[in-house]
Amino acid sequence: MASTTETKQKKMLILKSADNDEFEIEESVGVQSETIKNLVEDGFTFVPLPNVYTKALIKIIDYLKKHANKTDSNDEEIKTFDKDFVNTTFDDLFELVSAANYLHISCLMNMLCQTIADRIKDKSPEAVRKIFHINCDYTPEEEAKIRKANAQAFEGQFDESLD
Amino acid sequence: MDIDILSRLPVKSLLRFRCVSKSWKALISEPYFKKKHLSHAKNPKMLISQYGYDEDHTFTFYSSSLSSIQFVTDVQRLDWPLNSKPSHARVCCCCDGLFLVGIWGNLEEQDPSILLLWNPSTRESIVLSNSELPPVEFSLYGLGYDSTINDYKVVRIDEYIDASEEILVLKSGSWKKIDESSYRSRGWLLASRYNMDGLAFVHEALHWLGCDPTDTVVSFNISNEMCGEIPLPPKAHVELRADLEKEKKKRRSRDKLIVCMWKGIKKILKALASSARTPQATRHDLPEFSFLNGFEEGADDEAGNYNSPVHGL
Repeated sequence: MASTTETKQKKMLILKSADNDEFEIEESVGVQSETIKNLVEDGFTFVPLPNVYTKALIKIIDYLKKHANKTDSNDEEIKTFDKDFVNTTFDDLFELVSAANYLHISCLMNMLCQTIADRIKDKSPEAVRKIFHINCDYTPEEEAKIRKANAQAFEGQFDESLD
Repeated sequence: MDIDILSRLPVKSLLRFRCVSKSWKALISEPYFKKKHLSHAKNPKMLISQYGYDEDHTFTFYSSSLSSIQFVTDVQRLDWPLNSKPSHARVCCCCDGLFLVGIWGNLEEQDPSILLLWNPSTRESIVLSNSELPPVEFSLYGLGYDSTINDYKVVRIDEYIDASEEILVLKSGSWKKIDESSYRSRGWLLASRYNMDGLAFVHEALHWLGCDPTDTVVSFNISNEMCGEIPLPPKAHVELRADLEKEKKKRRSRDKLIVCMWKGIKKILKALASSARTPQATRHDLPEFSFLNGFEEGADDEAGNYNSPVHGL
């Protein structure tokens, strides 16, 4: 899809998303992902990513490009970029976590997981179930028992919102 | 993937999320999860214990985040084990947010009648089995994590010449005597007042001060249970403690063992494990409290020691 023409000398890679879109990126940008790095070291320049969908891949390529150009002077700029990057829905964040996990990009993985943790830490178990799309498999009696055993963790008011 | 998110949550949230689903509860209980959670714990807390000599004999902990301005953020009361009538309690040592609490039924006794291992974050505690060795004038306790067997160990060392050294491996639940030859040649435990109340745990080893034939820091490796020795400058009066800063540093390799030395009134601080003087060491100049394994600094009389010790969590 996207292609860069300005520098023919730079080593390029093609990433192919799960929905068959192709993206050309510089090798130096791509190797921030351990998964891509391993493939590049084995001589591959075409990288199929059957677990990463186009929507997430576009965002991740943006992230990699931004972070590949990290210098001492653009620290603030990257911080602002990161803040905007994680300012999205839980479902988008989960999609990105799954992609970052598959691609082994540890700094991105850290940032996404910490963001999700910070956003759910004051929520009620009911809100967390909805956010994570989890069906409660406890009987009401079992759940009451666990609540009783952890009574101190249920003191106070919790955030019921889903964003 | 859930594990990467959940391991970054505070303990209180995790206790609440146990009732999200059966698989989450199972995950949160996994030893592997606990280890990962500990590795993400990056905000050290200060814990102040207060023993109330009232009818209830309450033992209250106030914890405070070191980064926030607000001082007390959480108050915890220690639940006494059933059938115990404590007349006194104090924290013997701590490691990874776990606290070894000694409880005395009778103040005249030297050894605590009950040893309790307590996790203030979850309010869980277990009573440790008693040592079969006879009580001695003074013992020191240390708590450390042995990564080779994935378990915590409690070490007790006694002060005088005919005394001994014992170790309790938590999962095995029983005490055993440490091979005498491994530590006897390293000198006796220096009198209690020169050691802090617990054995400093740094770099997988517990440390204490020995005094025979010359003053020396004895290190006891928690995994292979062998002693080593760190020589000290001559004629230094020393006090030993683990550096609170180790909790704040990202890389464990930067842990330092700090030895405070007194020469007259002036305190000279030296980091043995690194050649550089550490700026953190200046925190020992705080007049009221000492940190991590420490009691109040400057309290010379025994009775004055027990009011508000401060511990790192």
